[in-house]
Amino acid sequence: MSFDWWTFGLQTVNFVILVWLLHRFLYKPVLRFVDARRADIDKEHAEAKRIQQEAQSELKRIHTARSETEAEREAVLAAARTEAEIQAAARLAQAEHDAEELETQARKSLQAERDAAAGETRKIALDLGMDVARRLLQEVPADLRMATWLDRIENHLNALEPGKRDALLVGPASTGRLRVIGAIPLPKASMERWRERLIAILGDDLEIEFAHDPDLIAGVELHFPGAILHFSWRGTLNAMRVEMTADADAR
Amino acid sequence: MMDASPLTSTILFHIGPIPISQAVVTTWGLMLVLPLGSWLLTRRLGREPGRLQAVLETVVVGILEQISEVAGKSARSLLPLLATLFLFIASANSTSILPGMEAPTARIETAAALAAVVFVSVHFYGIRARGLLGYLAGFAKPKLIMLPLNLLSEFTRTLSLTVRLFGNVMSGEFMIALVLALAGLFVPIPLMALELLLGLVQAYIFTVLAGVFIGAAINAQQQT
Repeated sequence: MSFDWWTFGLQTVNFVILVWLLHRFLYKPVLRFVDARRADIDKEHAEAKRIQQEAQSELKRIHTARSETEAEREAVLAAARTEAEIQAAARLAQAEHDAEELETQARKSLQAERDAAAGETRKIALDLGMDVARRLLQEVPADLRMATWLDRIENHLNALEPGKRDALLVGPASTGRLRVIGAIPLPKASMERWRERLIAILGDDLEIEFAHDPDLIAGVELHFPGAILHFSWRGTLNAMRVEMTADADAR
Repeated sequence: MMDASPLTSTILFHIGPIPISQAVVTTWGLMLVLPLGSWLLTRRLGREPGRLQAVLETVVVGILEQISEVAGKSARSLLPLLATLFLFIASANSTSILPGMEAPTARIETAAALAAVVFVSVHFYGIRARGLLGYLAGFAKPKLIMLPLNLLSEFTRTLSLTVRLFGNVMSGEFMIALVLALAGLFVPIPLMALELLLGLVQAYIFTVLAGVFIGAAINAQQQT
């Protein structure tokens, strides 16, 4: 084995020259284009990154806007809900008020109807009572029926003070005239007895007339020039009717 | 095909007193083919790479990435040297399959020349990166007692580069020649295919080792 130094030297030089040649014709051009492409890629990457950041910012903005919209929607909904609750409460109150008013009116109407019915019933009852009383009284003899009233009238007139009793006989139209209206026509004898006893109380100057009115049911009415004294059941029943009506109204 | 001892250079002619061996002539051929081919391939490069440009870029960028793995940030500056080492050794190894050709790397002078270039490059890049004193101080690390061994390793690893490349390629060629002589024309074809693969592997190993040596010289930590 031998070592050729010439070959060694030539190969060394050859290799160095080859390094230069390949650097000049291969590596440099290729790397230039690779670097240029890499620069383009980096640029596009940067652009893509910028666009991505913009997109992210836009996305963030959209999220924010969506959140704001959502919050606004919630606020509007809450306000609408509150408004609806207020309106519902107001309407409920109004409805309750209207219902109460209707109920009150209905009650009043019902009460009025009841009162009317009760009044009608009372009237019927009074009419019935008067009819019953009239029929029952027809069973009693006329003298007996009137005699009781005469005693009562006599007691009443006697109980009056003389001034008041005299005032009865003085009126704007006539003086000293008395009209005795009975529920039934008085027989002649009864008329005389009535006249005697009334004159005994009221004086001799008294002019007495007799008449009858079946509506009195029982008793008499004394029509003085200055006043009318009621001693009849009609008067009593009318007074009762007034009292009952007043009592029903009070209730 | 080898017609003489595989351990001696075949002198084809002389230029004056200088003997020109077959390895040198083959290298000249490669020096013609590789740059010319590169020029042809790179003269119409564009932003949109075609198929050939894509292959070219893949090769160059692939080598650059390999260099980056062993030499770090200095890969760009080492690309011409180390990529040329790979391309030259790979193409030189491949010439053995051509009839009448012998791989220049099967001669110890070529392997030694490449190893010598690496040896010089290691120190050149080391001194350039760390300064003369800083670089020389690196030989005394981690202990001063390691100085002789570190100095010795500089030469032994250069020698190992030489012998590894020369031995592998030469033995491959020698084996193919023997099989061809004994078995016939087509029998060595599988061996030749294997030799092509081994040639690529040797080119890769030589380049990576060179990158490691230069990278170690550039960086503070010494690697052997």
